[in-house]
Amino acid sequence: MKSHALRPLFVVIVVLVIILIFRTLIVPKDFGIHLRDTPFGSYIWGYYRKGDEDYWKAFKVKHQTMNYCKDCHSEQYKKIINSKHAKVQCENCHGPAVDHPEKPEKLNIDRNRELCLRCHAYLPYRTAKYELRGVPITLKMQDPDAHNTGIECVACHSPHEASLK
Amino acid sequence: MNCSRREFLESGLKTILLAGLPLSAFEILKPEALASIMKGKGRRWAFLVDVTKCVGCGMCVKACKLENEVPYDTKVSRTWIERYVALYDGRVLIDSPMAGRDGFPRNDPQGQKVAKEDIAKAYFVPKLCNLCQKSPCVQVCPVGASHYTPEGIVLIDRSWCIGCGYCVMACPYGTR
Repeated sequence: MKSHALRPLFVVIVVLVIILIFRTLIVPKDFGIHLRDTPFGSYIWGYYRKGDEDYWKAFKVKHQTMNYCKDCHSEQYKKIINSKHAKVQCENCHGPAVDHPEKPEKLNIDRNRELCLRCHAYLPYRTAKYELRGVPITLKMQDPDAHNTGIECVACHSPHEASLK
Repeated sequence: MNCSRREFLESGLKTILLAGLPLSAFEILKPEALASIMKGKGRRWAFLVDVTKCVGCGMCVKACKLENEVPYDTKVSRTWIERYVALYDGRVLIDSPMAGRDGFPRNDPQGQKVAKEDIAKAYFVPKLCNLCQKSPCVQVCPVGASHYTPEGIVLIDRSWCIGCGYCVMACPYGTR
């Protein structure tokens, strides 16, 4: 049988085969439908490259939280977790640790008034009642334009103890 | 059709009982509910913010910028805090200076001085990724770069993303 339709059909099939071969080569082995044992095991929700989970597990974040600081700076750590600032992370004032002892060698401490005022500036609608270790505490607020203007808060207050020096 | 008095009363009673079933009794028939009963195990993580506790300190915005290396002095941020101040005269002042990066140290919503007595109610609304259970950003991704982990966290595959921006459009909270 000879037909003018067969030739282009043959070309289409060859192109398809090439595309399929190319596809198997370029798509990673772990790409496909995952999460089969969860409610999300479908084409819509579970379609991704599994290896990306390991990428993010190994990813080093810049903010390391208090747990990173507590061994070397145990004195300051003990002070702050026993104060009313217990829930304030070290990095809020000291900046992200990243790879701290190596890079950066020294963290820049933010002693600016504006940093303290983020929480402690008086606003009539700021939530003032909190609970710490099961005990109600009050967020102390000051009018920044009336309370010792021009002086850094840390001149009189100790942020690690959340009290006057 | 034959129907004795007894049969009529019996089927009548059954119909009434069935009709009395609330719709929520059939919740279990939803595909995802069925799946979670049949193969659901392990833990699903979520991200919650207690907005009644938010003081608007803006540290989450600052941390997001530092962590993800977003240009610090631009107004762009996909994590931000809005301040709502509703006044008794009917006005509602809403602002988010620099996306709330520096907090709200002054009582100056939209640059206006408001007296304490004029405020009907006011609060802060932090807007962050909600790690939705049925996340639109995961659903719309044409290449599977936006995805869940088995623990329910929404991630982006950096090496796989083609940058089409569908997820940005899809996010109902504007946080993608």
